[in-house]
Amino acid sequence: MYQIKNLNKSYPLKGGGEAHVLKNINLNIEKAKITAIVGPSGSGKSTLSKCLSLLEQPSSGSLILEGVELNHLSAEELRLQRQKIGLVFQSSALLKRRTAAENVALPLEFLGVVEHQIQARVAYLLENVKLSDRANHYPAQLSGGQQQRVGIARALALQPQIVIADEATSGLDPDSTQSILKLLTELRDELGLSVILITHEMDVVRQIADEVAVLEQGKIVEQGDVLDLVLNPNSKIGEKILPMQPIHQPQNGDVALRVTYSTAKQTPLNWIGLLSINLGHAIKIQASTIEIIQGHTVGKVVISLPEQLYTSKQKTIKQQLQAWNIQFQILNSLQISPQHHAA
Amino acid sequence: MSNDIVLNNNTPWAEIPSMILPAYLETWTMVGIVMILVILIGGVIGITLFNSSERGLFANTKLYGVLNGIVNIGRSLPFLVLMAAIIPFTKWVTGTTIGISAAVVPMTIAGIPFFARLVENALNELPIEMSAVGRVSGGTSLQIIQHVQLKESLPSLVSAVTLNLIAMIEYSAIAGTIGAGGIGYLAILYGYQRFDHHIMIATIITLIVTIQIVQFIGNRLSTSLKHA
Repeated sequence: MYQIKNLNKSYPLKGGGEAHVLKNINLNIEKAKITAIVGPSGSGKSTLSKCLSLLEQPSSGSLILEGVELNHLSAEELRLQRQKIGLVFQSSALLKRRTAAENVALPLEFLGVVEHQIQARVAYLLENVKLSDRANHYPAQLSGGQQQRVGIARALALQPQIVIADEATSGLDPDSTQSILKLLTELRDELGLSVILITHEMDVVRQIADEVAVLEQGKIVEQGDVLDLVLNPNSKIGEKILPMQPIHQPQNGDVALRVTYSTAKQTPLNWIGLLSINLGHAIKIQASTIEIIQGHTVGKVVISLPEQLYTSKQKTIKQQLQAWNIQFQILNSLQISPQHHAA
Repeated sequence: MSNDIVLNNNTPWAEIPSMILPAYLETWTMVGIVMILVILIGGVIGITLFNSSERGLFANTKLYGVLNGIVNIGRSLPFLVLMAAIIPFTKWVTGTTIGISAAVVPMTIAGIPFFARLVENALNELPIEMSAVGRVSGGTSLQIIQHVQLKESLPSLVSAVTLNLIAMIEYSAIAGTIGAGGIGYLAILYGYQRFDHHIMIATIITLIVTIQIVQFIGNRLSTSLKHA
Protein backbone atom coordinates (compact mmCIF):
# COMPACT_ATOMS: atom_id res chain seq x y z
CA MET A 1 0.00 0.00 0.00
CA TYR A 2 2.99 2.32 0.54
CA GLN A 3 5.78 1.77 -1.94
CA ILE A 4 9.16 3.32 -1.72
CA LYS A 5 11.13 3.03 -4.93
CA ASN A 6 14.79 3.89 -5.45
CA LEU A 7 14.67 6.53 -2.78
CA ASN A 8 17.81 8.65 -2.43
CA LYS A 9 18.47 11.51 -0.09
CA SER A 10 21.54 13.72 -0.07
CA TYR A 11 22.34 16.82 1.89
CA PRO A 12 24.78 19.45 0.70
CA LEU A 13 27.79 19.64 2.94
CA LYS A 14 29.08 22.97 4.17
CA GLY A 15 32.56 22.45 2.77
CA GLY A 16 31.12 21.52 -0.65
CA GLY A 17 30.07 18.13 -1.95
CA GLU A 18 27.19 16.22 -0.45
CA ALA A 19 26.35 13.58 2.11
CA HIS A 20 24.52 10.68 0.51
CA VAL A 21 22.39 9.62 3.50
CA LEU A 22 19.93 7.24 1.85
CA LYS A 23 20.95 5.07 -1.09
CA ASN A 24 18.44 3.41 -3.35
CA ILE A 25 15.91 2.44 -0.72
CA ASN A 26 13.23 0.04 -1.90
CA LEU A 27 10.49 -0.89 0.53
CA ASN A 28 6.97 -2.13 0.28
CA ILE A 29 4.89 -1.38 3.33
CA GLU A 30 1.97 -3.77 3.42
CA LYS A 31 -1.48 -3.09 4.73
CA ALA A 32 -2.23 -4.16 8.29
CA LYS A 33 1.34 -5.17 8.96
CA ILE A 34 3.99 -3.88 11.31
CA THR A 35 7.20 -3.18 9.44
CA ALA A 36 10.26 -2.51 11.54
CA ILE A 37 13.14 -0.47 10.18
CA VAL A 38 16.24 -1.14 12.24
CA GLY A 39 19.79 0.04 12.09
CA PRO A 40 22.56 1.52 14.18
CA SER A 41 22.59 5.25 14.86
CA GLY A 42 23.91 7.14 11.87
CA SER A 43 22.50 4.53 9.48
CA GLY A 44 19.95 7.01 8.08
CA LYS A 45 16.93 5.81 10.05
CA SER A 46 15.74 9.22 11.12
CA THR A 47 16.21 10.65 7.63
CA LEU A 48 14.20 7.74 6.23
CA SER A 49 11.52 8.38 8.84
CA LYS A 50 11.35 12.04 7.78
CA CYS A 51 11.10 11.08 4.11
CA LEU A 52 8.38 8.50 4.81
CA SER A 53 6.36 10.99 6.87
CA LEU A 54 6.79 13.58 4.10
CA LEU A 55 8.65 15.99 6.32
CA GLU A 56 11.62 15.86 3.96
CA GLN A 57 11.58 15.69 0.19
CA PRO A 58 13.68 12.85 -1.21
CA SER A 59 16.45 13.83 -3.61
CA SER A 60 15.23 11.19 -6.06
CA GLY A 61 13.02 8.15 -6.26
CA SER A 62 9.34 7.83 -5.60
CA LEU A 63 6.90 7.37 -2.76
CA ILE A 64 3.56 5.90 -3.77
CA LEU A 65 0.80 5.77 -1.19
CA GLU A 66 -2.23 3.78 -2.30
CA GLY A 67 -1.49 4.54 -5.92
CA VAL A 68 -0.88 8.26 -5.33
CA GLU A 69 2.57 9.45 -6.25
CA LEU A 70 3.73 11.73 -3.47
CA ASN A 71 6.76 13.37 -5.07
CA HIS A 72 6.58 16.66 -6.83
CA LEU A 73 3.40 17.66 -5.02
CA SER A 74 2.79 21.30 -4.22
CA ALA A 75 3.14 22.34 -0.58
CA GLU A 76 -0.65 22.40 -0.23
CA GLU A 77 -1.18 18.96 -1.80
CA LEU A 78 1.61 17.61 0.37
CA ARG A 79 -0.14 18.99 3.46
CA LEU A 80 -3.31 17.10 2.51
CA GLN A 81 -1.49 13.84 1.68
CA ARG A 82 0.31 14.04 5.00
CA GLN A 83 -3.00 13.47 6.75
CA LYS A 84 -2.86 9.86 5.55
CA ILE A 85 0.25 9.35 7.63
CA GLY A 86 0.34 9.65 11.40
CA LEU A 87 3.66 10.22 13.10
CA VAL A 88 4.49 9.24 16.66
CA PHE A 89 7.60 11.01 17.95
CA GLN A 90 10.31 9.58 20.17
CA SER A 91 9.79 12.20 22.85
CA SER A 92 5.97 12.16 22.32
CA ALA A 93 6.39 15.88 21.48
CA LEU A 94 3.17 16.98 23.13
CA LEU A 95 2.29 20.64 23.41
CA LYS A 96 2.97 21.43 27.05
CA ARG A 97 0.34 24.13 27.33
CA ARG A 98 -2.45 21.91 26.05
CA THR A 99 -4.23 19.18 27.96
CA ALA A 100 -4.18 15.59 26.71
CA ALA A 101 -7.54 16.14 25.02
CA GLU A 102 -6.44 19.45 23.48
CA ASN A 103 -3.28 17.80 22.14
CA VAL A 104 -5.32 15.10 20.44
CA ALA A 105 -7.66 17.77 19.10
CA LEU A 106 -4.86 19.75 17.39
CA PRO A 107 -4.98 18.05 13.97
CA LEU A 108 -8.79 18.25 13.98
CA GLU A 109 -8.68 21.96 14.78
CA PHE A 110 -6.22 22.47 11.93
CA LEU A 111 -8.60 20.67 9.61
CA GLY A 112 -11.48 22.93 10.72
CA VAL A 113 -13.69 20.20 12.20
CA VAL A 114 -16.60 21.64 14.19
CA GLU A 115 -16.26 21.72 17.96
CA HIS A 116 -18.77 19.05 18.98
CA GLN A 117 -17.36 16.61 16.43
CA ILE A 118 -13.88 17.29 17.73
CA GLN A 119 -15.03 16.48 21.25
CA ALA A 120 -16.64 13.21 20.19
CA ARG A 121 -13.62 12.10 18.18
CA VAL A 122 -11.15 13.07 20.91
CA ALA A 123 -13.19 11.16 23.51
CA TYR A 124 -13.16 8.09 21.24
CA LEU A 125 -9.41 8.34 20.60
CA LEU A 126 -8.55 8.78 24.27
CA GLU A 127 -10.71 5.78 25.08
CA ASN A 128 -8.78 3.79 22.47
CA VAL A 129 -5.50 4.57 24.20
CA LYS A 130 -7.13 4.04 27.62
CA LEU A 131 -6.65 7.57 28.85
CA SER A 132 -10.24 8.81 29.12
CA ASP A 133 -9.66 9.63 32.78
CA ARG A 134 -6.65 11.80 31.94
CA ALA A 135 -8.29 13.97 29.28
CA ASN A 136 -7.86 17.20 31.20
CA HIS A 137 -4.35 16.55 32.46
CA TYR A 138 -1.42 18.52 31.12
CA PRO A 139 1.56 16.55 29.75
CA ALA A 140 3.62 17.42 32.84
CA GLN A 141 1.03 15.56 34.92
CA LEU A 142 1.30 12.37 32.81
CA SER A 143 3.88 9.58 32.93
CA GLY A 144 6.15 8.97 29.95
CA GLY A 145 4.03 6.04 28.79
CA GLN A 146 0.82 8.04 29.12
CA GLN A 147 2.35 10.93 27.18
CA GLN A 148 3.32 8.53 24.42
CA ARG A 149 -0.25 7.14 24.31
CA VAL A 150 -1.54 10.70 23.89
CA GLY A 151 1.02 11.07 21.07
CA ILE A 152 -0.43 7.95 19.42
CA ALA A 153 -3.99 9.22 19.83
CA ARG A 154 -2.94 12.49 18.18
CA ALA A 155 -1.31 10.57 15.31
CA LEU A 156 -4.62 8.73 14.81
CA ALA A 157 -6.81 11.84 14.91
CA LEU A 158 -7.06 12.27 11.14
CA GLN A 159 -7.71 8.56 10.51
CA PRO A 160 -4.40 7.85 8.78
CA GLN A 161 -3.70 4.65 6.87
CA ILE A 162 -0.15 4.47 8.12
CA VAL A 163 1.32 5.21 11.50
CA ILE A 164 5.06 5.79 11.71
CA ALA A 165 6.46 5.28 15.20
CA ASP A 166 9.92 6.81 15.36
CA GLU A 167 11.70 5.25 18.34
CA ALA A 168 8.36 5.46 20.12
CA THR A 169 9.42 3.22 22.99
CA SER A 170 12.98 4.42 23.49
CA GLY A 171 13.38 5.76 26.97
CA LEU A 172 10.18 4.21 28.34
CA ASP A 173 10.14 1.82 31.26
CA PRO A 174 9.38 -1.86 30.47
CA ASP A 175 5.71 -1.68 31.51
CA SER A 176 5.06 1.43 29.43
CA THR A 177 6.91 -0.14 26.51
CA GLN A 178 4.64 -3.18 26.72
CA SER A 179 1.49 -1.04 26.80
CA ILE A 180 2.67 0.93 23.75
CA LEU A 181 3.53 -2.28 21.84
CA LYS A 182 0.14 -3.74 22.69
CA LEU A 183 -1.50 -0.57 21.45
CA LEU A 184 0.43 -0.72 18.16
CA THR A 185 -0.61 -4.32 17.56
CA GLU A 186 -4.23 -3.32 18.24
CA LEU A 187 -3.93 -0.62 15.59
CA ARG A 188 -2.83 -3.29 13.14
CA ASP A 189 -5.33 -5.95 14.15
CA GLU A 190 -8.41 -3.87 14.92
CA LEU A 191 -8.06 -0.81 12.69
CA GLY A 192 -6.12 -2.52 9.90
CA LEU A 193 -3.42 0.14 9.97
CA SER A 194 0.05 -0.25 8.59
CA VAL A 195 2.63 0.54 11.22
CA ILE A 196 6.21 1.49 10.45
CA LEU A 197 8.40 1.03 13.46
CA ILE A 198 11.71 2.85 13.40
CA THR A 199 13.70 1.31 16.20
CA HIS A 200 17.02 0.02 17.42
CA GLU A 201 15.43 -2.30 19.99
CA MET A 202 15.51 -5.92 18.83
CA ASP A 203 13.11 -6.93 21.60
CA VAL A 204 10.51 -4.68 20.04
CA VAL A 205 11.09 -6.18 16.60
CA ARG A 206 10.83 -9.72 17.95
CA GLN A 207 7.67 -8.99 19.89
CA ILE A 208 5.51 -7.21 17.35
CA ALA A 209 7.07 -6.80 13.91
CA ASP A 210 5.82 -8.75 10.89
CA GLU A 211 8.44 -7.46 8.51
CA VAL A 212 11.86 -6.05 9.11
CA ALA A 213 14.28 -4.02 7.02
CA VAL A 214 17.85 -3.42 8.11
CA LEU A 215 19.44 -0.11 7.28
CA GLU A 216 23.21 0.17 7.29
CA GLN A 217 25.09 3.21 6.03
CA GLY A 218 22.06 4.38 4.12
CA LYS A 219 21.38 1.07 2.39
CA ILE A 220 18.90 -1.68 3.10
CA VAL A 221 21.09 -4.73 3.63
CA GLU A 222 18.43 -7.25 4.64
CA GLN A 223 14.67 -7.31 4.59
CA GLY A 224 11.88 -9.79 4.87
CA ASP A 225 9.43 -11.56 7.12
CA VAL A 226 10.66 -11.61 10.72
CA LEU A 227 9.92 -15.30 11.26
CA ASP A 228 11.59 -16.31 7.99
CA LEU A 229 14.70 -14.35 8.88
CA VAL A 230 14.88 -15.79 12.39
CA LEU A 231 14.64 -19.29 10.96
CA ASN A 232 17.27 -18.55 8.34
CA PRO A 233 20.66 -19.46 9.83
CA ASN A 234 22.42 -17.15 7.38
CA SER A 235 20.48 -14.06 8.36
CA LYS A 236 22.42 -11.60 10.47
CA ILE A 237 19.32 -9.78 11.57
CA GLY A 238 17.62 -13.10 12.36
CA GLU A 239 20.46 -13.81 14.74
CA LYS A 240 20.09 -10.38 16.35
CA ILE A 241 16.32 -10.69 16.74
CA LEU A 242 16.65 -14.09 18.40
CA PRO A 243 20.20 -14.28 19.71
CA MET A 244 21.66 -17.58 20.82
CA GLN A 245 22.84 -17.77 24.38
CA PRO A 246 26.57 -18.49 24.96
CA ILE A 247 27.31 -22.14 24.29
CA HIS A 248 29.14 -24.42 26.71
CA GLN A 249 31.75 -26.60 25.11
CA PRO A 250 30.23 -30.03 24.53
CA GLN A 251 31.80 -32.91 26.41
CA ASN A 252 34.77 -34.58 24.73
CA GLY A 253 33.62 -37.14 22.24
CA ASP A 254 30.23 -35.47 21.83
CA VAL A 255 28.83 -33.96 18.67
CA ALA A 256 26.94 -30.69 18.99
CA LEU A 257 24.08 -29.82 16.69
CA ARG A 258 22.63 -26.37 16.40
CA VAL A 259 18.94 -26.62 15.74
CA THR A 260 16.37 -24.03 14.69
CA TYR A 261 12.66 -24.81 14.74
CA SER A 262 9.26 -23.22 14.92
CA THR A 263 5.71 -24.38 15.55
CA ALA A 264 4.92 -22.35 12.44
CA LYS A 265 6.46 -25.28 10.57
CA GLN A 266 4.57 -27.87 12.61
CA THR A 267 7.55 -28.90 14.67
CA PRO A 268 6.24 -30.73 17.75
CA LEU A 269 7.29 -28.96 20.93
CA ASN A 270 8.41 -32.25 22.48
CA TRP A 271 10.79 -33.08 19.63
CA ILE A 272 13.82 -33.46 21.91
CA GLY A 273 11.98 -36.04 23.98
CA LEU A 274 10.76 -37.84 20.90
CA LEU A 275 14.23 -37.90 19.39
CA SER A 276 15.73 -39.17 22.65
CA ILE A 277 13.22 -42.01 22.79
CA ASN A 278 13.85 -42.77 19.15
CA LEU A 279 17.62 -42.99 19.68
CA GLY A 280 17.37 -44.74 23.02
CA HIS A 281 19.65 -42.07 24.46
CA ALA A 282 18.90 -38.95 26.51
CA ILE A 283 20.01 -35.97 24.42
CA LYS A 284 21.72 -33.08 26.24
CA ILE A 285 20.69 -29.46 25.81
CA GLN A 286 23.80 -27.26 25.72
CA ALA A 287 22.02 -23.97 25.18
CA SER A 288 18.62 -22.72 24.13
CA THR A 289 16.63 -19.65 23.29
CA ILE A 290 12.90 -20.00 22.93
CA GLU A 291 10.57 -17.10 22.20
CA ILE A 292 7.17 -16.43 20.74
CA ILE A 293 7.40 -14.68 17.37
CA GLN A 294 4.28 -13.78 15.43
CA GLY A 295 2.34 -16.10 17.74
CA HIS A 296 4.58 -19.11 17.04
CA THR A 297 7.10 -20.73 19.32
CA VAL A 298 10.52 -20.33 17.81
CA GLY A 299 13.55 -22.02 19.28
CA LYS A 300 17.26 -22.11 18.74
CA VAL A 301 18.79 -25.00 20.64
CA VAL A 302 22.22 -26.59 20.74
CA ILE A 303 21.97 -30.30 21.55
CA SER A 304 24.77 -32.79 21.99
CA LEU A 305 25.07 -36.57 21.79
CA PRO A 306 27.95 -39.04 21.68
CA GLU A 307 29.79 -38.97 18.38
CA GLN A 308 29.54 -42.75 18.06
CA LEU A 309 25.80 -42.65 18.38
CA TYR A 310 25.57 -39.77 15.93
CA THR A 311 27.70 -41.53 13.34
CA SER A 312 25.75 -44.77 13.54
CA LYS A 313 22.29 -43.11 13.56
CA GLN A 314 23.12 -40.15 11.32
CA LYS A 315 20.57 -41.09 8.71
CA THR A 316 17.74 -41.60 11.21
CA ILE A 317 18.52 -38.32 12.91
CA LYS A 318 18.53 -36.40 9.66
CA GLN A 319 15.31 -37.98 8.48
CA GLN A 320 13.61 -37.41 11.78
CA LEU A 321 14.65 -33.75 12.03
CA GLN A 322 13.70 -33.10 8.44
CA ALA A 323 10.31 -34.69 9.00
CA TRP A 324 9.71 -32.17 11.80
CA ASN A 325 10.97 -29.33 9.62
CA ILE A 326 13.88 -28.72 11.94
CA GLN A 327 16.99 -27.11 10.49
CA PHE A 328 20.31 -28.17 11.91
CA GLN A 329 24.01 -27.64 11.58
CA ILE A 330 26.87 -29.58 13.12
CA LEU A 331 29.01 -27.38 15.29
CA ASN A 332 32.75 -27.80 15.29
CA SER A 333 33.49 -28.92 18.81
CA LEU A 334 36.44 -26.56 19.17
CA GLN A 335 35.28 -23.43 17.42
CA ILE A 336 31.51 -23.72 17.72
CA SER A 337 31.50 -22.04 14.34
CA PRO A 338 28.60 -23.36 12.30
CA GLN A 339 29.48 -25.75 9.49
CA HIS A 340 26.62 -25.82 7.15
CA HIS A 341 25.27 -29.32 6.78
CA ALA A 342 21.65 -29.50 5.96
CA ALA A 343 18.50 -27.50 5.97
CA MET B 1 26.90 81.99 48.43
CA SER B 2 25.66 81.31 44.92
CA ASN B 3 25.82 77.57 45.68
CA ASP B 4 23.30 78.01 48.50
CA ILE B 5 20.84 79.64 46.16
CA VAL B 6 21.11 76.76 43.72
CA LEU B 7 20.82 74.13 46.43
CA ASN B 8 17.68 75.71 47.78
CA ASN B 9 15.88 75.08 44.49
CA ASN B 10 14.15 71.99 45.89
CA THR B 11 10.46 71.78 45.14
CA PRO B 12 8.50 71.40 48.37
CA TRP B 13 7.54 67.73 48.93
CA ALA B 14 3.84 68.59 48.96
CA GLU B 15 4.05 69.76 45.34
CA ILE B 16 5.97 66.72 44.11
CA PRO B 17 2.96 64.46 43.31
CA SER B 18 1.31 67.12 41.17
CA MET B 19 4.51 67.37 39.12
CA ILE B 20 5.37 63.68 38.97
CA LEU B 21 1.92 62.35 38.11
CA PRO B 22 1.35 64.13 34.74
CA ALA B 23 4.92 63.28 33.72
CA TYR B 24 4.38 59.67 34.76
CA LEU B 25 1.27 59.46 32.60
CA GLU B 26 3.24 60.91 29.68
CA THR B 27 5.88 58.23 30.16
CA TRP B 28 3.26 55.52 30.00
CA THR B 29 1.64 57.10 26.95
CA MET B 30 4.96 57.03 25.13
CA VAL B 31 5.84 53.54 26.26
CA GLY B 32 2.32 52.28 25.50
CA ILE B 33 2.35 53.54 21.90
CA VAL B 34 5.88 52.25 21.38
CA MET B 35 5.10 48.81 22.83
CA ILE B 36 2.10 48.32 20.55
CA LEU B 37 4.21 49.11 17.48
CA VAL B 38 7.18 47.10 18.73
CA ILE B 39 5.16 43.99 19.55
CA LEU B 40 3.41 44.07 16.18
CA ILE B 41 6.38 44.84 13.93
CA GLY B 42 9.11 43.26 16.06
CA GLY B 43 6.92 40.21 16.58
CA VAL B 44 6.46 39.68 12.84
CA ILE B 45 10.20 40.10 12.24
CA GLY B 46 11.04 37.73 15.11
CA ILE B 47 8.64 35.07 13.81
CA THR B 48 10.06 35.45 10.30
CA LEU B 49 13.61 35.24 11.65
CA PHE B 50 12.88 31.97 13.44
CA ASN B 51 10.96 30.39 10.59
CA SER B 52 13.53 31.33 7.97
CA SER B 53 16.24 29.73 10.10
CA GLU B 54 17.20 26.06 9.73
CA ARG B 55 14.67 25.06 12.37
CA GLY B 56 11.81 27.04 10.89
CA LEU B 57 8.84 26.30 8.66
CA PHE B 58 10.27 28.00 5.59
CA ALA B 59 14.03 27.76 6.01
CA ASN B 60 15.64 30.34 3.77
CA THR B 61 19.28 31.14 4.33
CA LYS B 62 19.19 34.39 2.34
CA LEU B 63 16.10 35.79 4.05
CA TYR B 64 17.52 34.85 7.42
CA GLY B 65 20.86 36.46 6.60
CA VAL B 66 19.25 39.75 5.54
CA LEU B 67 16.89 39.97 8.54
CA ASN B 68 19.62 38.92 10.93
CA GLY B 69 21.89 41.65 9.55
CA ILE B 70 19.20 44.32 9.87
CA VAL B 71 18.38 43.31 13.43
CA ASN B 72 22.06 43.40 14.35
CA ILE B 73 22.50 46.86 12.87
CA GLY B 74 19.43 48.08 14.76
CA ARG B 75 20.87 46.77 17.98
CA SER B 76 24.39 48.08 17.40
CA LEU B 77 23.74 51.74 18.14
CA PRO B 78 23.36 53.03 21.69
CA PHE B 79 19.92 54.58 22.04
CA LEU B 80 21.25 58.12 22.49
CA VAL B 81 23.27 57.87 19.26
CA LEU B 82 20.35 56.34 17.36
CA MET B 83 18.03 59.05 18.58
CA ALA B 84 20.34 61.80 17.38
CA ALA B 85 21.19 60.04 14.12
CA ILE B 86 17.62 59.64 12.93
CA ILE B 87 16.41 63.15 13.75
CA PRO B 88 15.79 63.96 10.03
CA PHE B 89 13.68 60.80 9.72
CA THR B 90 11.80 61.62 12.93
CA LYS B 91 11.07 65.09 11.62
CA TRP B 92 9.87 63.67 8.31
CA VAL B 93 7.50 61.26 10.10
CA THR B 94 6.16 63.46 12.89
CA GLY B 95 6.93 66.99 11.68
CA THR B 96 8.81 67.76 14.88
CA THR B 97 12.06 66.85 16.60
CA ILE B 98 10.94 67.34 20.19
CA GLY B 99 8.16 66.12 22.43
CA ILE B 100 6.38 62.82 22.89
CA SER B 101 5.72 62.12 19.23
CA ALA B 102 9.36 62.74 18.40
CA ALA B 103 10.46 60.31 21.12
CA VAL B 104 8.13 57.57 19.92
CA VAL B 105 9.95 57.23 16.56
CA PRO B 106 13.48 56.44 17.84
CA MET B 107 12.08 54.35 20.70
CA THR B 108 10.11 52.22 18.25
CA ILE B 109 13.07 51.86 15.92
CA ALA B 110 15.29 50.80 18.80
CA GLY B 111 12.65 48.52 20.31
CA ILE B 112 11.76 46.56 17.15
CA PRO B 113 15.07 44.72 16.61
CA PHE B 114 15.39 44.12 20.35
CA PHE B 115 11.95 42.53 20.55
CA ALA B 116 12.47 40.62 17.29
CA ARG B 117 15.55 38.96 18.78
CA LEU B 118 13.68 38.16 22.00
CA VAL B 119 10.87 36.53 20.02
CA GLU B 120 13.35 34.52 17.95
CA ASN B 121 15.02 33.32 21.16
CA ALA B 122 11.67 32.40 22.72
CA LEU B 123 10.76 30.30 19.67
CA ASN B 124 14.20 28.71 19.65
CA GLU B 125 13.54 27.43 23.15
CA LEU B 126 10.69 25.25 21.88
CA PRO B 127 11.50 21.56 21.46
CA ILE B 128 12.95 20.95 18.03
CA GLU B 129 10.07 18.65 16.96
CA MET B 130 7.40 21.35 17.37
CA SER B 131 7.37 22.46 13.73
CA ALA B 132 7.23 18.82 12.62
CA VAL B 133 4.32 18.22 15.02
CA GLY B 134 2.44 21.07 13.40
CA ARG B 135 3.16 19.79 9.92
CA VAL B 136 2.26 16.15 10.51
CA SER B 137 -0.91 17.38 12.21
CA GLY B 138 -1.83 18.93 8.86
CA GLY B 139 -1.41 22.57 9.86
CA THR B 140 -0.78 25.42 7.43
CA SER B 141 2.23 27.59 8.24
CA LEU B 142 -0.04 30.27 9.68
CA GLN B 143 -1.89 27.74 11.86
CA ILE B 144 1.39 26.28 13.10
CA ILE B 145 2.78 29.72 13.94
CA GLN B 146 -0.38 30.69 15.79
CA HIS B 147 -1.39 27.48 17.54
CA VAL B 148 1.92 25.76 18.07
CA GLN B 149 4.79 28.24 18.04
CA LEU B 150 3.22 31.30 19.66
CA LYS B 151 0.89 29.53 22.08
CA GLU B 152 3.53 27.10 23.26
CA SER B 153 6.11 29.83 23.79
CA LEU B 154 3.64 32.24 25.45
CA PRO B 155 5.37 32.14 28.86
CA SER B 156 8.69 33.07 27.21
CA LEU B 157 6.96 35.70 25.08
CA VAL B 158 5.48 37.31 28.19
CA SER B 159 8.98 37.44 29.67
CA ALA B 160 10.19 38.98 26.41
CA VAL B 161 7.48 41.67 26.56
CA THR B 162 8.39 42.38 30.20
CA LEU B 163 12.05 42.76 29.34
CA ASN B 164 11.24 44.96 26.37
CA LEU B 165 8.80 47.08 28.39
CA ILE B 166 11.46 47.80 31.00
CA ALA B 167 13.95 48.71 28.28
CA MET B 168 11.40 51.09 26.76
CA ILE B 169 10.74 52.80 30.12
CA GLU B 170 14.49 53.28 30.35
CA TYR B 171 14.66 54.65 26.78
CA SER B 172 11.80 57.04 27.52
CA ALA B 173 13.92 58.55 30.27
CA ILE B 174 16.84 58.93 27.86
CA ALA B 175 14.45 60.51 25.38
CA GLY B 176 13.87 63.15 28.07
CA THR B 177 17.09 64.74 26.87
CA ILE B 178 15.39 65.79 23.65
CA GLY B 179 12.47 67.19 25.56
CA ALA B 180 10.33 64.12 25.12
CA GLY B 181 8.25 64.80 28.20
CA GLY B 182 7.59 62.16 30.78
CA ILE B 183 9.42 61.37 33.94
CA GLY B 184 12.86 61.42 32.32
CA TYR B 185 12.32 64.93 31.07
CA LEU B 186 11.31 65.96 34.59
CA ALA B 187 14.45 64.42 36.02
CA ILE B 188 16.68 66.19 33.47
CA LEU B 189 14.93 69.55 33.61
CA TYR B 190 14.54 69.88 37.38
CA GLY B 191 16.74 67.29 38.98
CA TYR B 192 19.80 67.75 36.78
CA GLN B 193 19.65 71.25 35.37
CA ARG B 194 18.19 72.95 38.47
CA PHE B 195 19.68 70.73 41.16
CA ASP B 196 16.19 69.99 42.50
CA HIS B 197 17.00 67.01 44.70
CA HIS B 198 13.43 66.36 45.66
CA ILE B 199 12.40 65.84 42.06
CA MET B 200 15.48 63.70 41.46
CA ILE B 201 14.73 61.48 44.44
CA ALA B 202 11.02 61.26 43.57
CA THR B 203 11.70 60.25 39.95
CA ILE B 204 14.25 57.65 41.02
CA ILE B 205 11.83 56.12 43.51
CA THR B 206 9.01 56.19 40.96
CA LEU B 207 11.17 54.41 38.38
CA ILE B 208 12.42 51.79 40.82
CA VAL B 209 8.90 51.02 42.05
CA THR B 210 7.59 50.91 38.47
CA ILE B 211 10.25 48.49 37.29
CA GLN B 212 9.74 46.26 40.34
CA ILE B 213 5.99 46.10 39.71
CA VAL B 214 6.39 45.47 35.95
CA GLN B 215 8.88 42.69 36.58
CA PHE B 216 6.74 41.17 39.33
CA ILE B 217 3.60 41.12 37.17
CA GLY B 218 5.59 39.81 34.19
CA ASN B 219 7.08 36.96 36.21
CA ARG B 220 3.76 36.04 37.77
CA LEU B 221 1.98 36.02 34.43
CA SER B 222 4.71 34.00 32.73
CA THR B 223 4.71 31.39 35.49
CA SER B 224 0.92 31.10 35.54
CA LEU B 225 0.96 30.37 31.79
CA LYS B 226 3.30 27.43 32.18
CA HIS B 227 1.89 23.98 32.74
CA ALA B 228 5.16 22.28 33.52
